[in-house]
Amino acid sequence: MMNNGNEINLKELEKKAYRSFFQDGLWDIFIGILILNLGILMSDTFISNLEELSLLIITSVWNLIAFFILYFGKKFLTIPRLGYVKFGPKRKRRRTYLKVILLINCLIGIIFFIIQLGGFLPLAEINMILTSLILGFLFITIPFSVLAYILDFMRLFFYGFVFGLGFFLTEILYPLFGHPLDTLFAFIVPSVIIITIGCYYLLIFLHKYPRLEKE
Amino acid sequence: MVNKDEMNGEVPSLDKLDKIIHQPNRLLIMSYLYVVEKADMLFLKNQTGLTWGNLSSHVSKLEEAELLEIEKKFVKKTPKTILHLTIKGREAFEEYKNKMNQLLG
Repeated sequence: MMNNGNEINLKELEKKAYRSFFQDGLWDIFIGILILNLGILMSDTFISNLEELSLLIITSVWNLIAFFILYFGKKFLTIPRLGYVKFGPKRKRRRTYLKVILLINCLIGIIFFIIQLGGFLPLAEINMILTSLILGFLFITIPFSVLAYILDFMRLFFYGFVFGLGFFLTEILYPLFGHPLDTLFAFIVPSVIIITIGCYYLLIFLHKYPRLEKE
Repeated sequence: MVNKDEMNGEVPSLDKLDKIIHQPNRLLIMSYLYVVEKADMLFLKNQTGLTWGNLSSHVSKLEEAELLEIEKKFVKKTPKTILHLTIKGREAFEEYKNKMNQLLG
């Protein structure tokens, strides 16, 4: 559709409006904190003396903090600056597909875990480097990519790739650097980079969209 | 909505274009409201880059033409102006879109 020489592409317009909600960097910070949590747990340097229950509580609190940052950040920073919008049925459909795909992925993960727990799949006897590569892509990169595609949030492809590669990198780096430097390089450094990217986007967003008191 | 011109395969003349929608800023407002279900004034201001005054006057014209509906409500003591296209507005926009596509290919 054309108007006075300026092209208006309705699909692109809708995408632009939808993507504007990812300009705040909050999703980046959220994902970064989750990966950082995993990295710290895997490195077990800082928490080696803790019992399993304490670990579970720390992990839950950590993830809850990440969720609160995302939820309250959206509520008190993003929406008052970007405004309110309700997207059309196409987006609702895409969210439903997303839920179904993630549920299937989760079920496959549980089945895989049960098979492994039952000793039907002796992972220790399989090449761990190859296994970590396959599992990382199957249970992290693919769900992240699906999420990125459905949410129209392109940076998530990159995060899924980096996160998925983490376990594989740990296996590769362990003989070179030992523990906990392997997890530091594979998980903690990337998560800090992701959080930094998120903070950078957040600062730009706050500068670009100052809070307006009146309409 | 298919009119006579389209059925005969004729190119519609510029006179037949909806003058209210044809104005660039109003067309942009209509386009945003067409691709979403509803949005508030702040969202439209950020997306279109219009000033409050400009946005307000164009929205009023679209409302007068019954192309969009304005809903005023308070969310946590803050006034919110929510806008959405009426059925007439959606049809008028689709008709305008079809005519422009016919005109410009």
